[in-house]
Amino acid sequence: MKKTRSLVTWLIVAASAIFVLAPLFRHETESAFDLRDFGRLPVLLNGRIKPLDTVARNSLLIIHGRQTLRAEYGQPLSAIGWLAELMMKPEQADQQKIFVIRNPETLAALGWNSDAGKYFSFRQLFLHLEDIEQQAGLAQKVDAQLRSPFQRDIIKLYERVTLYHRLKNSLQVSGTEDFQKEIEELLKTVRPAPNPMDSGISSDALRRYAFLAETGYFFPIPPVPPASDPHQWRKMGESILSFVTAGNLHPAVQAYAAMATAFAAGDAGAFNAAVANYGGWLREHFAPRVRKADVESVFNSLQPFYSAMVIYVLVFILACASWLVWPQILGRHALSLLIVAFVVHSAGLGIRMYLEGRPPVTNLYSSAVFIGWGSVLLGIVLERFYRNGIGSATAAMVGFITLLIAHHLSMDGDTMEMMRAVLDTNGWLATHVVCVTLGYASTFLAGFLALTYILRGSLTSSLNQETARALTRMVYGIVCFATLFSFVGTILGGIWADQSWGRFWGWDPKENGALLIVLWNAIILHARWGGLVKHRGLMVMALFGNIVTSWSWFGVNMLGIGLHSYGFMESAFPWLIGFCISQLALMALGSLPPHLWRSSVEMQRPASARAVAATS
Amino acid sequence: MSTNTLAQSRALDFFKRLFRVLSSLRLTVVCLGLAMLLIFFGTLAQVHLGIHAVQARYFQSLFIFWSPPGSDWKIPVLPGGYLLGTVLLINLIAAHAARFQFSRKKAGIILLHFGVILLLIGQLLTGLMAQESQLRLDEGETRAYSEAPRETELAVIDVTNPDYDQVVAIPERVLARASTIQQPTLPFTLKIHRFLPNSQLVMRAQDALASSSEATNGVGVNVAVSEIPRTVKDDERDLVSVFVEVETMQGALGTWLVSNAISDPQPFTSNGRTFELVMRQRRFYKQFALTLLNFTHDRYAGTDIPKNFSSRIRLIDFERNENREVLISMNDPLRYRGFTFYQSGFDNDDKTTILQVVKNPAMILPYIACGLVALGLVTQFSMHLTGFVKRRKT
Amino acid sequence: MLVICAGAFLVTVGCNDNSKITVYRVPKETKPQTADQVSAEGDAGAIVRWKAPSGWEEQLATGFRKGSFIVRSPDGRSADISVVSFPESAGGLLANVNRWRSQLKLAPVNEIDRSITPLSVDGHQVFFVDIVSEQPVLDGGLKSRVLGGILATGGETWFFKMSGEDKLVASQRDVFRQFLETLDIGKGAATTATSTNAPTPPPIEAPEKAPLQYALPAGWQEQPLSSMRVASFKVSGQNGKEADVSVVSLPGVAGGNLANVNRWRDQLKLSPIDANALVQSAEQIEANGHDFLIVDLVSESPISEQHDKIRILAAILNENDRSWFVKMTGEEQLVASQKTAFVGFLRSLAIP
Repeated sequence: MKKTRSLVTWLIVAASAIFVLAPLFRHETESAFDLRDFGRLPVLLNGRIKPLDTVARNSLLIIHGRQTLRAEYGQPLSAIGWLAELMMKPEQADQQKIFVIRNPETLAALGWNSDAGKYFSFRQLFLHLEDIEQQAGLAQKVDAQLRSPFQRDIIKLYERVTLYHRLKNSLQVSGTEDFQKEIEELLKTVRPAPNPMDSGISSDALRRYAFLAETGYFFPIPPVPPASDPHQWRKMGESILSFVTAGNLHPAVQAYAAMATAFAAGDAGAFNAAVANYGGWLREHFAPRVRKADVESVFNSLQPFYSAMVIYVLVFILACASWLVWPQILGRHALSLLIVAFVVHSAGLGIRMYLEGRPPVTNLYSSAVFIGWGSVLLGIVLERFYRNGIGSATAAMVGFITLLIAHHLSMDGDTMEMMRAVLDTNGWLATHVVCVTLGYASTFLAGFLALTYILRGSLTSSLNQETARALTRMVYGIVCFATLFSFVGTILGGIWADQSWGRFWGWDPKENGALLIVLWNAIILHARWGGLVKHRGLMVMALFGNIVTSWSWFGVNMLGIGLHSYGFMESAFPWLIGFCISQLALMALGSLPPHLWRSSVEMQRPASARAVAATS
Repeated sequence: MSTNTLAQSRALDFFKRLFRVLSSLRLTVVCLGLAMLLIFFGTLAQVHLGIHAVQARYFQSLFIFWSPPGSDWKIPVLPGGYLLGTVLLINLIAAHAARFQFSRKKAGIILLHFGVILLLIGQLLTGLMAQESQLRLDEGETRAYSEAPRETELAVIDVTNPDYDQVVAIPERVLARASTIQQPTLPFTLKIHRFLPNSQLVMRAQDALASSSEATNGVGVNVAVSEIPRTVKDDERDLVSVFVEVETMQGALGTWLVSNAISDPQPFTSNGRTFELVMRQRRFYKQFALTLLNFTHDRYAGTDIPKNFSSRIRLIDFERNENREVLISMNDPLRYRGFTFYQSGFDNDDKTTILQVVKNPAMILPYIACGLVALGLVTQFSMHLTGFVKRRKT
Repeated sequence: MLVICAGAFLVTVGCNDNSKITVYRVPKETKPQTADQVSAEGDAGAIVRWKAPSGWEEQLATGFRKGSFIVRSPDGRSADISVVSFPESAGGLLANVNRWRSQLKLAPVNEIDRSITPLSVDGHQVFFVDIVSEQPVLDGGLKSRVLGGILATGGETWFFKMSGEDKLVASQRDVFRQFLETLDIGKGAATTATSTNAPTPPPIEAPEKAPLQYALPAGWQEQPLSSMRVASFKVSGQNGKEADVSVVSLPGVAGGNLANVNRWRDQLKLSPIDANALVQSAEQIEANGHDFLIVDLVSESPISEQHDKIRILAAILNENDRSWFVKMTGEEQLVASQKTAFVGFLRSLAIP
């Protein structure tokens, strides 16, 4: 009997492993072009060397809102497929309806009515570029916080169009017919001279390359080996111009030119050969960079956080079901699945740390990922002790929600951005930031445990006294944990601030937010020790912890002030308000008189709890 | 005699009750709750008031006042940071005095709370004693003073002596309050005609509608001044302007406009001595001087994202016979004679460094406090945890 | 005890007293540091600094703008002042003036007219532009005026522009002109706007510009300047033949005279010569106190698109660590006919 059960467990683990790893074996079948290897070529962008695949995904996310192009917008394409088209066959890319314009005022300003649909290609927008630029110029004069929805939308559209235009002119001047031939001609006719006018290059060509150097979005040309300083990556135009003035054409220029020509001509064989050729050259001279780029593109295609989200949903359903039927079996499978999801989640986190060379939390996005990770870890520990499905269900819920938030935060582009000078200290990032984030995670976990308690107690009769007592202990324990981490983390932050700019405490909004969490947790503990609250009171207070934490995590960023602000997130604001209202409603539910609850949890205080209160 | 003892016992009773309230957990919870409200509203208020005003009004005060619109009343609505901190401090000390009994079980709690006490005292001391200022140095420039970025002073400088300048520095607060200023070292009286906490200066030639100037001497004659609201933005500062009349025993010498917007000193003579009037950032002179040798600013490849800033500085102290080079960079300050110089910013196309200068005698307290609190928390919770695990196992 | 301490702190005023007048002696300041009220901050590409006249309110510089100001008149009108820099390919003087003209609904001009005044600022040439619309183009039937300054330096072109209602802008004319005349133009190396931190040589080496003074020979037309050229002319002959004259100044010996002459010979499909041959074939001319080396080269066969022989008439001057090249290229007959004008031009040329 026991053996069969563990067999089922292994089956579940194997099935989820297949689910997680499947994307690796899904080949790009859409064309004969080896876009996967093309996507692995490293380029420099925003201070970080990353594969083209990442550039493609992030850019498409910004421009289009998704990481792939679906058939309804034109031809279905992967991100890298789209980028390849945009850079090397722009006349085709320009017809893809990738610009989504939802705001009716924006549509009207561009002379369209709602019949025109919401999807537009660059070719359609092209005629209105001047309007967009003019309107965005007007809107930019208004302070960011005071802009109307239309103004924000038109600025965003302008930025998207600009990004599109820059990507398009990153490898070659858009409209170039045969880049390879152009470069060959250049090699033949140009005699490099310090004064480019004397090199024999036509002034028209000179202007084109200057334009390419100016407009290009990323830096595709690596340093000349053996140099490897990231500062020596060059834009395509810069590299060509430096050939004109100093000689020595970089082999990467020719490689990309060959790819561009082959791609435009539809010659898959030549394209693949050029990619393989250049890949080999890179491997020879920049092995570590190439390895990182490979890892990153595998990471991109695996999307571990997405897989983890799916499994968390499953875990949640299983754990909830375990309260109704087969508590033992379902509870156990829920836990083993939760552990699988946690492993996937941890792997994602680990790869990000490897790629960035940083501790886990560097920005708001990674804080969301890490809060989920911390909560799930604590949830697994709780489940191991109590084995009542509550740890699993709550952890899965928090894991899912935080990863969902992370997903929405990733819409702004690259989630692995460089750290500004003040923050560029791994020691503090690893201690202060990790501690504070664990504080967030545990406060959220306590809040969601309380949420489980209140929902089950008030709406169902499934909350028996034993479970209620177990939940009380769980929440109490997690609040202790939260106090420890948020207090230590906040104080470490103070010390960091003192070390960095001589002020232990500056009443900066983000600092204040962290302090609020510390204070609230301290209040919960003191209220409990003083006997001011009992079980349900503890739960209601823990729920309020959700509001405090979400304020400190997100709310303060919406103030748009302070050293720590990550940016103004107008779209998240209604969600935050909604979340706070829902928590208040649940707190009201928790404060209802006991006879209105369906479970009877109001019990004599067990002797042990009294003892705890007395000793503390 | 008996009434005396009765009164005594009543008084004793009262003190006992007071002590019980002061040492109660309930008071702790109430204070912490109020602190949360204070911090929350203090954070919100930063949007409109700016961080510096909020610090003074919310956190370094006894009460937060609210004025109903259209009235002059000041209604205290919340206790301020100093009051709450003090009450919490008393509460903590009283609670421990009341229930103090040393046992291994309570060691963590005691450590922790002692740490909190130190932290509170440290913040109180910092708020009262710390001095923050800025030092701006161009490459090659030497300065022996730092400036308070948000405080203004009127400097009346006697430049007659060829060897040194004698400075009379009049802080903004004095200018705002006083109507006449007499100072024993000055052979004249300063009359403050108009004080504008923030102002805008326009050349009279460009503003046809400007009213006639109150200034009779100096550049102010050609300048029109208008008062504007004080700024709440962190990256802006107020331009203080004052019309000041110089009056000697023999009669008035004239009225000058002095303003932060006028950086050149305006000279005049009185009693055969030459004085200069200049409105400037409040200065703190040091016994040593710093020279900026050069400033470097690294960015991440292909971006404008700053990676590191550092200033190579020569420190010269004649008193202590020091003359050496130091490197100040992000997260690596210079500590010297009670001052700490932090790399704070840069300007002027990377040719100017901005150092934050902090003098805080209570600087060490938070460090000790933090150690104690962390130690206490860890002890206490690990005791809880091991107890819990043991109980589960049995 | 601690309580008493804490209470005491509340009443005592700390040492950070900001309400007391203080008196102290300090050594005299050696150089009075009057920091510019406004300067180009932060941006590493910026090598031009300016001082905003009083009355100009600084605005947040956004987008392409390096600086942004506004001037208000008492009745609520305002004029906008922008400072923008573009890399290299900004299109030349006339194109930009015409761009402004089109904004004022004016027809383009083909040559530098009276609306454009060259100013000499900090050793550089800044073109001061003053144009006003003929018709009312603003709301309320008002005319609009543009005051502009164009400066090409360090591989970048800088545009200073004030635009707004005619009368208001006109009243600022002298202020604006003075603003241009007090620009502090750094001698920094050229940087491209996007990769300001790149340590490599910039793609295009820009010569230091200095205002060049000369007498314009009859039949020569001034052309827009590019980054390379300190002066540029077009000479038109019969049958639509044209010759191009350029004046280029480069630091150092710029590769040496022989290399340059051979490069030109190469352009004319002539075989290279050695130093002796150069000395023999070239002639020396003394013009305006400078010794020019004159080279006159003719292609042996028709090589232009119109099947003409091409002649290069060039003057080289090496002086004060700079090289100057005055070069006329064009159809053989036309260039030959311009030789006197060419020498006359050299005589009038004031090399700074």
